[in-house]
This record gives sequence, C-alpha cells and structure tokens, in this order.
Amino acid sequence: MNLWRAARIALPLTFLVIAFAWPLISVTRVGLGWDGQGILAPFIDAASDPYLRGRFIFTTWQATLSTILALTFGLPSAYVFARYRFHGRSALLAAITIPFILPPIVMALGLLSLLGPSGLANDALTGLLGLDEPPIKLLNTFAIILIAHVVYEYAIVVRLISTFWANMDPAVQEAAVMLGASPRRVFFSVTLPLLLPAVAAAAALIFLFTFTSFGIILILGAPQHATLEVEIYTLMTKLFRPHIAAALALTQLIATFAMLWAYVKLQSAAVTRIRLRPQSSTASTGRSPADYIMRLGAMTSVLLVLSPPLALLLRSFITPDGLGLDGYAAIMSNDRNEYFYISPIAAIRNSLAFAAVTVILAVPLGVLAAYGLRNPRAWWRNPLDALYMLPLGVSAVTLGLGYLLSLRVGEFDVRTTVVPIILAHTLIAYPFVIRIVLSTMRAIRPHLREAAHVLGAGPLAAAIRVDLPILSRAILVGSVFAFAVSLGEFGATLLLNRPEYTTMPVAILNYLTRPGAINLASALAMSTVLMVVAGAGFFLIERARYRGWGEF
Amino acid sequence: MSDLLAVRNLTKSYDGGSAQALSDVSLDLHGGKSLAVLGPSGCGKSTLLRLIAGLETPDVGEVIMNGDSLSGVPPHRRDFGLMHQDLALFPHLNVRDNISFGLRSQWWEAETIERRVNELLELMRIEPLADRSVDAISGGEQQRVALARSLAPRPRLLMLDEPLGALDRRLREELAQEIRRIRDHEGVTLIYVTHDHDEAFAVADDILVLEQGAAVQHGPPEDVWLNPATPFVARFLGHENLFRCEVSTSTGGTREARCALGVWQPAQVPSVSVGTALIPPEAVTLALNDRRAAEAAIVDVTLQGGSYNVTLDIRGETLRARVPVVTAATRPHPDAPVSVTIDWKQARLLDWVE
Repeated sequence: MNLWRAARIALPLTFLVIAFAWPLISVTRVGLGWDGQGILAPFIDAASDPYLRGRFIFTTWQATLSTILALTFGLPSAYVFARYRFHGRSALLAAITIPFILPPIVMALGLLSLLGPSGLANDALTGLLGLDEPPIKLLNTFAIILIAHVVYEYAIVVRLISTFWANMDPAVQEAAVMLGASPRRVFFSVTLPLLLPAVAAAAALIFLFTFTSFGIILILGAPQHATLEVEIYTLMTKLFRPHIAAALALTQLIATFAMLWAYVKLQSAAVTRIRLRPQSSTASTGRSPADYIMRLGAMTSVLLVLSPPLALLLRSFITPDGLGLDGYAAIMSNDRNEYFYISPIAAIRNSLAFAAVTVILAVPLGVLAAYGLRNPRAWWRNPLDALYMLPLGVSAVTLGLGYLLSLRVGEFDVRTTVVPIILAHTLIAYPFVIRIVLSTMRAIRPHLREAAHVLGAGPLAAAIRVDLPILSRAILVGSVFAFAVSLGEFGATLLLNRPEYTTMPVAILNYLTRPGAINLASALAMSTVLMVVAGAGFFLIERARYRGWGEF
Repeated sequence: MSDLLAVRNLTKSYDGGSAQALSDVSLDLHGGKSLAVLGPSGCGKSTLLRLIAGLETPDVGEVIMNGDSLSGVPPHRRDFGLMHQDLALFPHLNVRDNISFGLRSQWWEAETIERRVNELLELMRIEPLADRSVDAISGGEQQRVALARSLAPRPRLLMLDEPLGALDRRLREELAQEIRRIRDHEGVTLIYVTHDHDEAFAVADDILVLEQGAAVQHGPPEDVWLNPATPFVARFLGHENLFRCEVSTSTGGTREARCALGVWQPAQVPSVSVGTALIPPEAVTLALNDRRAAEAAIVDVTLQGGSYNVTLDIRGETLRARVPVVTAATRPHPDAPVSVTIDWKQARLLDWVE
C-alpha cells in the first residue's frame, strides 16, 4: 500500500491518540471515579462542596457577563469597520487584533501597567492631583477581570461580525426602509436577525475563551475570583486532589465542547443565509455628524483596547528614578538570585527551545493532516477535520492535568521530562497549522497535480515539486503561528512545569509573586519581550496573509 | 386619484462632484399613471429612483408630492414603494412574513394584515408558497413575492428597478403582462426603470429617456418612437435607417427633403434647413428584376421573428429592410443585385442631424 497515502492520516491520528485521547481518557476515568474511587464519587464530592459549586457558578457568571460586555462594546465598532470606508481601515483592523494574539499573561501585565497600583493611570493621577495614595483601586477586583476580558475579546467581535456585516447586501435594509420601517425597526427586525448567527458564533467563542480564563484571573483577580480552570490548577498542584480536579475538568470540558460545537454550527449558518457582496460596494464615506460620531467612537474603542499593550511597553521603561532599563538588565542577567532555580536568561532560552521544537513537530504534522483532508468528497473528511480541531475545545490546564494523569506505562514514565510540555504546545499549535495550510491547499487547482502525474511524478514527488513551492508561504505563516502559540502558552506549562524547564510566562508569574520593585520591573520587561515577539510574528502573518483565508 | 408627483431639477454627483450621476431632471406623474424611465446602464436611472425614494439626498432639486416638498422626509415616512433589481427579499422570513413586513411597519391590525396578504397571494397566484422559505422558490416566484411585498402597504408611488432584468425572455414577457394586470387592479402609480424599450412601451403611459444623467426626451411612447428627440434616442430605440436631408422649398411652393436615397415631400416639415430622414425598414421593398429602381447589393440577411432583416448597400449607404418570409426558395441571397423601392409616405423628417 502507498506509504505516503497512509502516513498522512495515520501519523496525525497516532499523535492525537497519544497527546490528546490518552490524557483525556485518563481525566475522564479519574473524574468519573473508575480508578477505584466508586462511580461518580469525585463528581458527587465536588457537587456537594458549596465552595466548588460557587466556583462553577462564578465561572459561568463571569463568562456570561464578559461575553455580553464584549459584544456591547464591540458591536458599534464592528458596524463602523463594516460599513465605512476610511483611511487606515485595514491597518486599524490589524491593530485591534494585537491584544487578541497576545498571551493572556501579557494582557494581564498590560492592564497592571495601565490600571495597577503603580500603573501609568495612577502615577499620572497622583502626580497631577498631589494625592498620597493611588486613586484607582482595581487590582484584585471583579471589574478589572471583566475589563481584561473585554479588551481581549474585542477583536473577535469586531473581526467576525464586521466581515459578515460588510458583505451583507444593503439592499435588504433599504427594502425594509421602503416598506416604512423606521431605522430602529430595520435594525431589530432585519439587520439583527441576519447578523444573529455571526453574533451568536462570536458569543460562543468568547464564552469558550472566558469560561476557561486562567492567566488573567491568576494575576489580576483575588482568590474569590477563581474560575474552574484556576481551581483545577490549585487542586492539582497545591492540594493534590486529582480526583476532584478531574471531575471539575470534565465539567468544564462538557461546557467548552458544547460551545465549540455551537460556534461551528453558527458559523456555517452565518455564511449560507444571505447574498454576499464585496465590502467595497457596501461601504460608505458618510459625512453627516452621526457618521463622524460613529467613527470617532470606534477610534476611541480601538485606542482603549490598544492602551494596555502600549502601557506595558511604556511602563517597562519606567524605574523609580525616571526612565531606565532596570528590568531588562535584570532579565538579561545570568544571576540566580535566592528565589529562582534558574536564571532569567535561561528561561528565555527554554521558551525559544520549546517554541522551536513545537514548530518542528506541529508544522509537519499539520501539513500531513491537511493532505489527509484535501479530498473534499471523502466521507471521512468532515468527521476527521472536526476531530483535528477538537483540541481547541480543551482548556490548557485540563490538558496539563491529563498529561499528569497519563503518559506512564509501568516503569516508563515521561511525566517529569520535557515531553508533556512539548506535546501540549504541539497539540495546541497544530490545528492552526492545518487551517492555514488547508485553505491555501484548497486553492491549488487539481489540474496542476494531474499535470505533474502525467509528466511522471509520483504522489510524493508531486507534493514536493508542485505543492511545496505553492504552500511554502502558508507553511511559513503556520510556523510563525506555532512559534507564537508555544511562546505564550501558560496554563499547561505551569501545571507541567519543573524549575529547570521554566519558560518566560512562568517566570513572569514567579516575578509577580515576589515583592520588590525589581521583580515587578523584570516581569514587565519579560512581558514586553514576549509581546514584541508575538507582535512581530503577527506582523509577519498579516504581511504574508493569503487572500481568501477565513477569519480564525 | 388626485395624487401628483413632481420632480424638480434633481441633480446628484458622487465622489465630490467628479462623477455626475444625474443632472437637472424634472418630471410630473399623475396618480394612477405609469412612467417608464428608459436608458442604458449607468445613465442615472437607479440614482433617480433612489433620490425620489429618499435613500439618497440630491445636491440640487426636490421631490414634491401633492404640493408638499419631501426634502427632509426620511424614506420610511414617504409612503413610497421600491422593488430592488435584485429583489432583496428578507432571507430570514418566509413568503408570508416578507409580504406582511410593510404592513407591520405601519401597525396594521392583525386581521387586516391577514386579509391583505391573502389578497396579494391570490392576486400574484402564489397562495401555495405562503409558508415557504424565500430561498426555496424559483426566480420567477421570488419576483412575484417581491412585487407583492412592495404592493402590500398600498404605496402612493411604486418604483420598480429593472424588475425583469434577471429573468429569461419567456418569463419576462409573462411577468410584464402580469405587472400590467396588477397595476390596473391596484390602480397604483408606477415608475418603471428599464433598459429595454419593448418593456418600457409595454408598461408605460409615459416614457422618460435618460442619457448620461440628463433627461433627453419625455412623452407618450408613440411620440418617443415616432419622433426620437436626439440621435441617441433614435439609436437606443433601435432605429437604423437615419439619413441626413437638405430641406428646401420647391418651385411649386411645397417643402421637400433631399437625401442620398432620393427626394421626397415629408408630411410634417419642421422649420429647419437640414434634418434627418427616418425610414422604417418595413417601408423598404426589394425586387429582383426591376431595372428602373435603385441598384443595390445585399450585404447580410438574418431571419428574425418571421421576417428577414436585410442589410443593403446603396451607393455606399447602408439601408435596412424587413422582408416577409415566404419560402426558403425566395430567401434573398447576399451579393445578389436587387432593386429597392422606398415608400416615402412612411418616412419621417426629424429636426436634428448627427
């Protein structure tokens, strides 16, 4: 049998079985109490604990509130980006995506730099008003978590909905106007129902992300703001109660898979319903006062969501005695001060090494898997595609927990090595690679490959000599993506961390848990480095952006 | 039917004045009458509709209904209907809810809505489709639904933008007839935009021809057909036999026109010294063996709708003739020399030259 043909399905599947199915089955087994605890015992224990019930309610509540707030805040901007033509529109669209691609921990540090006790806003206010203490006291409140989530998910609302809105034929709204509908009625009985699938898809995605919020809660919230994700981490690493942790993880999985499923369904519903028009034919350059107010509002929103990363950049250069590079000097040192097992520069080296290995594993796996999905008529194509995307519905901490509960056969135990961290990063990165490569691959006309076959090239030779040159750009973009995902990965790495494997996000958390200005400065500097690397990667992706890629 | 729509000096340009879409167009339309706006694509037809509808604001000019200016009245308060070229049916509503949308906008009572919708479903012969999704019906059926939806709130003025544009020929003829029937049944005042003069003549009491945003002719269909006001109108209506004439007074005192194909006495003579002769192709007859008539050569023959379109060359002038079909044996042959007789009584003298 054809080795190449078999490999492109067998290899990705084998990887999924080891890196995804095994840990997930272990979580399920432990969570359901099939390892001798008694069926459903962990569940019953968790459900009968009022504290844990409270965690579940709080998690759902904060996700719901974050989703509603993000939609409310983002919808007017989505309208502006959809319906107006103005200078710098595409540059702004790219800019608002920056917060979304930043690792959550960087976003948390950004908000800390802006609104924290020694953040820019408080510094400015105390200086201006001559106050003795910072007037903004948002750290460790529910409000700052919600702000972080809204800033973080704003890009989803704007990009998902404005793309759809922009292509909606305005004739439909005009028809309603001509039938006597007031602007209000047009919005509520025509525009909104037509947008609803896109809005709901965005809502499902935002709920999915905020329901499993981890880094933001850990850094900005107080103990009473622990989400299920934070609780699983605490139960596993601090309280050593794997059964309850697994039961919580299962509960969370059900919720996230439901949201992922809803997102996929709604997304396809959104695409098929209406006649699409190119954005250029639907956008206006409106010059009425209302038009200016709308655009001004959107610009303000963009500035607001960009302010945390900018604040982080600025704050990282501020020292108690003015501008300086104290933080950067600290993280570039080879010092292992009393708190750390390894030096900061070693953490940076670790991060880069993990990212490189992730690229080396995730990209070939993703490309192989994309080849397996190429034939659109095969009956197994859609189920297989869905299976490959499934890791996106699993939270990072759950994944880490899963590795801690599996990856051991008798004496052979890899849990304390670098293997689980590499598996986690690869598993999180490769669905993106598949999406990026597959969309380009679909654009290659089959005739090209047929021509290569007729000219005597076998399947592998055709792949290397015809497809690879065409796909090289998509592969480059996929590599950058995998690299950035690995650099920013926090939840799973933290759970699987051993001191000698400390990565940059973990080091940032370590800095923040220590007192002292130099530790804060180091955390800010390291976050800035992470932000710049992620931002540069994103910039490359936008530059190489291939026409026809879907959003997300 | 005492409504009177008056459009005064409508002017609109896009992109900061660089592209003039409509310049100084005026018209009057009485209640219950139909006006066809005729012109090639890009002539400003749709812009005119959108300005009347209030979807866009004119740079200059106004729309007046029964003496009241509509400037500043938003489109949804004008009580006008507009059927878009691509129909713009609401994809999230079924046929019935599409038709009742306008009635619900005006807060009609539920029973009245029900009655009106059923009446329209029946009028359009689409009762069986009432609960279907608008995606699940054919193009012609969608056309009917869109028309029913526009008619439902009994607009003071109904505007149709290329309503039959996307349909095939047979369906177009069928629906054009349907639109006439429904217009008479509902007594609606109609503005009908099209690039097809047959469609315009089939529907309208009056025709307005637009050329590059300007109104070049406005009048009853017969006038427009018989006396096209400009070379553009003549060509756009498909007139081909246009010949420059010198007009002079003969010794006997009658006015006569002299063109390349002959000298003739027009029935009506505009007071010009040069004009254009318009010779209907039906006025040209061919004879194969008549030596006394003009010598001509047949350049091209096509069979169209029961007669031959024959293109002739007479001393370097091109003339079109329409010859009835008899049998294949009598088909005129290209390159055959023929003699041509023109029935000058059917020719008309127009007061312009190209």
